[in-house]
Amino acid sequence: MADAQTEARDELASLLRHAAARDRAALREIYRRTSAKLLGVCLRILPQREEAEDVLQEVYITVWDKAHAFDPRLASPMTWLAAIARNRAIDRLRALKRRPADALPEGFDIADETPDAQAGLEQSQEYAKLRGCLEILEPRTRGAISSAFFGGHTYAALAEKDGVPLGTMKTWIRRGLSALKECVGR
Amino acid sequence: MSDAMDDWTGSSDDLQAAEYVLGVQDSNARASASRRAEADAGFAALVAAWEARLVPLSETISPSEVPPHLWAEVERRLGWQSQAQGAVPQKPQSLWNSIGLWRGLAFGSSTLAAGALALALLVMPAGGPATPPPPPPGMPMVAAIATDVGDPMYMAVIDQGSATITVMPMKAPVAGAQVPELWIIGEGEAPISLGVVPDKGMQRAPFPPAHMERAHHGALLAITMEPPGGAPGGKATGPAVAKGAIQSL
Repeated sequence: MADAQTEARDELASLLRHAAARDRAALREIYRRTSAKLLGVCLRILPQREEAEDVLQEVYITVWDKAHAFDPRLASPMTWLAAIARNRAIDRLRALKRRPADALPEGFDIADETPDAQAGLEQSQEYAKLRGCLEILEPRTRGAISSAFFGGHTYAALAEKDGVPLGTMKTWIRRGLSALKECVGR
Repeated sequence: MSDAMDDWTGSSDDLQAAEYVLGVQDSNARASASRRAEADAGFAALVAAWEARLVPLSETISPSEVPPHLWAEVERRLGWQSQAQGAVPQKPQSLWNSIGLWRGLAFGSSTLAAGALALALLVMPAGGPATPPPPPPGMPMVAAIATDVGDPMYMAVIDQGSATITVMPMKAPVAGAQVPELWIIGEGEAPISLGVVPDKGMQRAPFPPAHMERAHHGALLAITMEPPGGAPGGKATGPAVAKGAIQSL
């Protein structure tokens, strides 16, 4: 698995370099390889399919504009792409103003961090390490970080959802982030 | 950060980067972090480091099937023409702008189709009647006039509304002692001269009203090489060096 994974990563990094050199076919190939995954990422934050699909288009326009900024020393290509998808989706979510915290799916904080069986086969060392670090956190901290990450919710929405004061939610998440930084390293 | 950072062990910049990547900021804080990531390389590096730490969590998200039309939409938004799949009509209300229509015509080659389109777009808006003719009776007709081996020689657009014919040389015959002359040939009829045509530069001329009824779908336009001043007595002296059928739109 590791070899196939490394190969896929290298190919994607190479495609990004070609896209940076204004190769349209490279962008198309990046799209072919990653759009289903990135649509999944957008849908997590924007459950309305129409919004998620519109944001997905913006994602590839951003990829085209910013491909030159991809640095394989800083992140894997998939992480870089997923970060763009997350950022665009969260921006859209904020633009749509409020998303009631109580509209979250039941038990989201547990379900959302359960790896999909199929996705599990493709997981990177980076994910394995992060997951190990998350498991060390207190459950409520882990839950808060997980729902923040997957839902793109603000501190305020998370506090409301968990029925805790805003300051408490900030404390949980900041402690969690601190611990993660120490554990994951870099 | 306006509130206490007791729970944070790093710099406030690093916290801002972490909160931006996690996505917990409200719109204003997020917008300001986003602007900073664009403008401040140091901050951008902190953001990249947090992305490397946190975003691998996305690997647990299942892919979702993407509707097939989305890529074409991306290309459109990037301003790319979708050559492979046929262009999206720019202005559906105008037949003139429908590339698909032009593509669909049975021209001898795509070069000719492109030439016809270019010519029609050049001719029609500039030279049309003050009020555009109603499409069905006034629709222009086009012809790609090509040699026997398919090399385009002229493009022609006949506009019945303004009773004009516009001719554009594509790869006109080599200028010599003779000049190119244009003919219209109805089925089973003798060729009728439409006059001498230039070997370079577009020419727009009145279409002889007496012969307008001959300009219909399927009639042929042909080029012969004639003495300077045109075929004596209105009779062609040489063979057709190029021809093409008139297509109505």
